[in-house]
Amino acid sequence: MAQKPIRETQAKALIRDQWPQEYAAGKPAIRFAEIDGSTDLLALPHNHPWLTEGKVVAKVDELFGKRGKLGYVQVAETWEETKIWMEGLRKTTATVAGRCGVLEHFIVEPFVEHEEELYLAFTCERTEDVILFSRKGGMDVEEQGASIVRIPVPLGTEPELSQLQGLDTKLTATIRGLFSLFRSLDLPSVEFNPIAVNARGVYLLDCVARVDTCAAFRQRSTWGLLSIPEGFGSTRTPEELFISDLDAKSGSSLKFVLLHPQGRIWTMVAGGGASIIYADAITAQVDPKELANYGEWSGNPSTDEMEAYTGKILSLIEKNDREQALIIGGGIANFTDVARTFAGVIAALEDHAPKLKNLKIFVRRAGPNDRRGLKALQEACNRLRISCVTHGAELPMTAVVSEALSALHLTPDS
Amino acid sequence: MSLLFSPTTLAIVYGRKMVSVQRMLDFDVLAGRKPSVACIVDPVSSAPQKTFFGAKEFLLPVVRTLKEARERFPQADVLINFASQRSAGAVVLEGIAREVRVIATIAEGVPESDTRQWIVEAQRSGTTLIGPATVGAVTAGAFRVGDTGGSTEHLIASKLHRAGCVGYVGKSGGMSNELYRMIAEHSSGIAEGVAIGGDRNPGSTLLSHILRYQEEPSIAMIVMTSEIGGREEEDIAKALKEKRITKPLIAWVAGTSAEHFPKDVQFGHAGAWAASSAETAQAKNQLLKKAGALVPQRFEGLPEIIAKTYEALKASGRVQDPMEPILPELPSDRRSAHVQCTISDDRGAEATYGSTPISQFIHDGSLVKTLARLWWKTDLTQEALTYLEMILVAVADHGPAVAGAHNAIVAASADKDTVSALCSGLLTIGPRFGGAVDAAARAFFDAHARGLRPKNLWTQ
Repeated sequence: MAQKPIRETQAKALIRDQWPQEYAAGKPAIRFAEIDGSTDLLALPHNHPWLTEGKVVAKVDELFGKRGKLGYVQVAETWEETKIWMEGLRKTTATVAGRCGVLEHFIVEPFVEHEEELYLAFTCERTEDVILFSRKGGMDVEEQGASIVRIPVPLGTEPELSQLQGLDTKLTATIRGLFSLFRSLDLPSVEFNPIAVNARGVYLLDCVARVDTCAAFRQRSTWGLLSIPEGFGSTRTPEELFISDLDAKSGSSLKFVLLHPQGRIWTMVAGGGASIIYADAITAQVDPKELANYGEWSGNPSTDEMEAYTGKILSLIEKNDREQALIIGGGIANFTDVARTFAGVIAALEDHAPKLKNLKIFVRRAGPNDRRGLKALQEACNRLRISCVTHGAELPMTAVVSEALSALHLTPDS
Repeated sequence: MSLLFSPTTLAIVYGRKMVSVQRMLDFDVLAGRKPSVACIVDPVSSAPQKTFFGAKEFLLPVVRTLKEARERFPQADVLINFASQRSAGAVVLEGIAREVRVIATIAEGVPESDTRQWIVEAQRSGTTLIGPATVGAVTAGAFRVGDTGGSTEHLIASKLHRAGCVGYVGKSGGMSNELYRMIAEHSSGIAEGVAIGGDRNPGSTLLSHILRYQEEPSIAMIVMTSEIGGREEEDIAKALKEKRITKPLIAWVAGTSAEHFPKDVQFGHAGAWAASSAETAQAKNQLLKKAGALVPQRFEGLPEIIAKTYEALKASGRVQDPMEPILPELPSDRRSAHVQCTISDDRGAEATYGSTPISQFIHDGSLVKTLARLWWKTDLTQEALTYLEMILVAVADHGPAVAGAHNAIVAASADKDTVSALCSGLLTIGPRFGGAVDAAARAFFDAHARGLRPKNLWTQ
């Protein structure tokens, strides 16, 4: 697990519900309606009466930026108008920055009259937090390089009041409150662009935040039931969900992302670093669409875990009628027991063998008990009549990729 | 000191990680040094840990707190932290406060804000942090952190038991081992290797280790591997341009496949995602190459560049192939002794009870005190000693005369069932206790065997 972006509605709900008492005066006005795949639009004004009381702003809330430019923001005179706009977009498929996904989540807020759009963001550097501020917020803040004020705040210290007052006296308490939330809620980055001030208060017109999922164990009382969304276009398949559940329950690491179910090269690579290098080696040599998945296992998983993990991947291989290769790769393990983990792989192969007619297996792995593990896997495959070749540390780590590609008659760079 | 560890480095291992500790000791045998682990810290139990040094079994001291470990073994200045994701932070901060020189943290999934706090504290105290989310580091022929280098067979093949001339630093723990082998096969092997861990803000940076290697005279060339995500390579490129790095630097940043994926993929390492185009593998490889690093076209090109660089250094006379040491044999079959004495020790000039010489007990002249030391391995308070003495006085007449009753009581106090307690008493019956009963039984048995009628036995 690592840093993950959360939706605008989730970020705003956190700010609204966790606002620190000592900065009560600076609390921004937060009022929004959240729409997901199951929301009944007709019933929405019942819970949010303000929807029918004036102009509203609606935005797609799907973890991608530049929504204004993409036409995914609408300012409407009435709720009815917004509703029609949303109904036109709801559950349609869109491609944004090469990622294809379904538009399901929206956020609707009261329209706020304002003159100036400001920019405020907090980020983490190695030993300091950073406050970024600009009076020229809005859509093209990236081009405002020179106008952005950068205030570093070393860890263990608070931002200096005089510096914050220098940004905007009306915003001081708000910035202090937001900054304190940024730190206490384990949010490694938060951006408000724009943030607006009028006579009635401070408004966060947009909010993009990331959470550090490693801190989930100590943020239960604050994050509550925060369900961390997948990236846009990353709806998880049942197989991915199964393995992610397996991963969550295990002290070891078991990762799986389905990339191209009709691809011909499947990977099960041991090690976070090695798995990247195998993916690099494959995509560098053949059409990346042939890479069916990204898969990584490490931290000495149990035999049972390996059996469940392998079995799930084999079930996907069965569904694919093309000639396929499974690369069980990895470096030289420090402590993961090759024989023990391969026993799980063998058990899964025994289960699925009758349906694996189109599969060839290529193995390169070393580490504790590697000879025993490799021999057992080779013998099991021979017995099950699955074409398989096994290598230890004598073969360069990714050389097994070339073997797999040539067995599938996939010529490099074809 | 520009290398992290020497052949005299001593470590405190936090967490009873038997296998990892044994691997460290096996490495020590191969490297021809004394045991590198001073003690284990186990908050739940201070029972000593059985370990082997070569073929010889010995008990490694275990203490409950880091404080005690530091006090008892002040020369051990490396902390190997096997604490879990949740408790690793407290161990690191205590280690920094107790002035440990190097702290290696293995746990994955430590919150970023925690690691950043460690970094700030460690900078203040001058502590070197390795990890989190790593396997550790190794100085060839000198010291190994935990499982670094893998099994004995592989660490010999990777020449970790003797020093080479290459400094290695990378993010991934698993890949570090692969790289040690690759470097050993294409040069004289590593002098030192560090895996800083796959998090976004690791405890130490790639650059800090590269700069150490630049300073270290025994290192002639440097290999680094990195991954997509983060912008540290910009600092490395700057150091190259400013000639702060002048030794050959071979570099590779993995993750070129990320741009080909149809959706966002979080790789296995927490830090392996690109927040901007400057953090992609392609951009960082190009940047390093432009700054003067030796960057292959692909990962698979690394061995060739390593070999070429090493051969060039050799041709210039800067390095030469090392002598291969004769390796001691590690026993393939180790059997633990079944009985071990953790109480008394008769090795050395004077026998000890616990760690106290027997002469001390003789000088004190107290039986109860001696028993307390032997039974509970501790010094009891005066009050407890007096109480025990009272008990002893009260049962003093229970000598051989009533040994059966006494034993029945002892068995019962040990929570045995009634029958067992009774048997314990009855089986104590012998010539000097219950002798009459015993003799009578023998006489009856003998008469029965000879077929004597009771009357005849009586008259005989």
